[in-house]
Amino acid sequence: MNNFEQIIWNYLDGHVSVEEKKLIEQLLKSDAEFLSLFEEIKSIHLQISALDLDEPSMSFGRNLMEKIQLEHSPVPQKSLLGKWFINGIAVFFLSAILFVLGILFFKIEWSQSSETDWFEFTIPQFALDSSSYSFLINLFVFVDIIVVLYFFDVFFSKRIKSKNDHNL
Amino acid sequence: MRDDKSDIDLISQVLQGDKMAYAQIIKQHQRFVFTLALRFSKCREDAEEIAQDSFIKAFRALHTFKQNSKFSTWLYSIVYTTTMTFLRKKRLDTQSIDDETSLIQLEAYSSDHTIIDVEHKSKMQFVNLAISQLSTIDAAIITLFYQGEQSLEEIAQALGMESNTVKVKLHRARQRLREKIEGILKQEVRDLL
Repeated sequence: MNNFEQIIWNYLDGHVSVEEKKLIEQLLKSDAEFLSLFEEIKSIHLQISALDLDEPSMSFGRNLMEKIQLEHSPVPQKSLLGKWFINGIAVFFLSAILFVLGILFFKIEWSQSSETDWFEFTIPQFALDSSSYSFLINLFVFVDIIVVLYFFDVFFSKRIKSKNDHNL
Repeated sequence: MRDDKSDIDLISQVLQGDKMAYAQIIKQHQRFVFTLALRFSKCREDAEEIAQDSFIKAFRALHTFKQNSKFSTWLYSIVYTTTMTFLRKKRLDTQSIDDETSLIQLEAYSSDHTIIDVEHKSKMQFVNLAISQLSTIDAAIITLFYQGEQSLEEIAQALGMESNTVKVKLHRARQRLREKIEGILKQEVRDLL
């Protein structure tokens, strides 16, 4: 009977094969018990389908729109970060990499002991402890710290704001 | 004229900065969102809060809606996650309530129902009552399938389940609903005699 029940529900949903449809129609004509089960399930099916949706309070939409008005407009990510901005970052990094590689290439000392030998090269040593490099590294670390602090500030400000909005 | 606008048209208007177009989206979906929230929470005040939160979350994330599913399916998945968060939070908040209070509430609820004249109860009320006695997930699946007119695949998407799982759950939910209706009708007959 349980299996029949499932077939009847599927039949009412329109999810039965041709064979199952024929079987149901045959049983409806020949089996009184099956017909009674079918009528009962069909009645429930029709009642659920005809159920009305619940209505929220009259002020629901108005209250909600008041809250929506306080929200920032949702902006597509594309317009937040223009293509030129992404391309600009890519161009900057590519230029920086090419610049460093160019300097390195021109500073390499190339030598060849005989014509049949491969070229030999010596990569120049960069004295990281020299005052100029030390200044650059300190500057780099300083800028990084500023950037990290800035992002922390933005992140926590947003969290506090959203928490306050939620409590309202 | 504005009623004829599709969800997609209204969403693009909102994304262009027209917040008032969102009022139309709310109007088109508020009844179902509220009904679904009510099926989950079984309390009108909570359902309104869940429905409001869901619409606000949907507004904030509107630009992430990919349009590879129906807007309603996407919105119902937000309602589902919002409800789960809400109910989890509420369960934690109400753990301190003692059993005595709960008993008083239950007595008040049942006596309220026996007072109502049986003659005025329509079949719809029986079905609604039976649905309210189902588990949250069973009631939600039935509501999404019948009132939300969502396919099994769409329900699966909204609830984060496999469509085969939803199919089995829908069948079991309908079986339980049938049993509940039978139980309610038998109780009504007993009360009449």
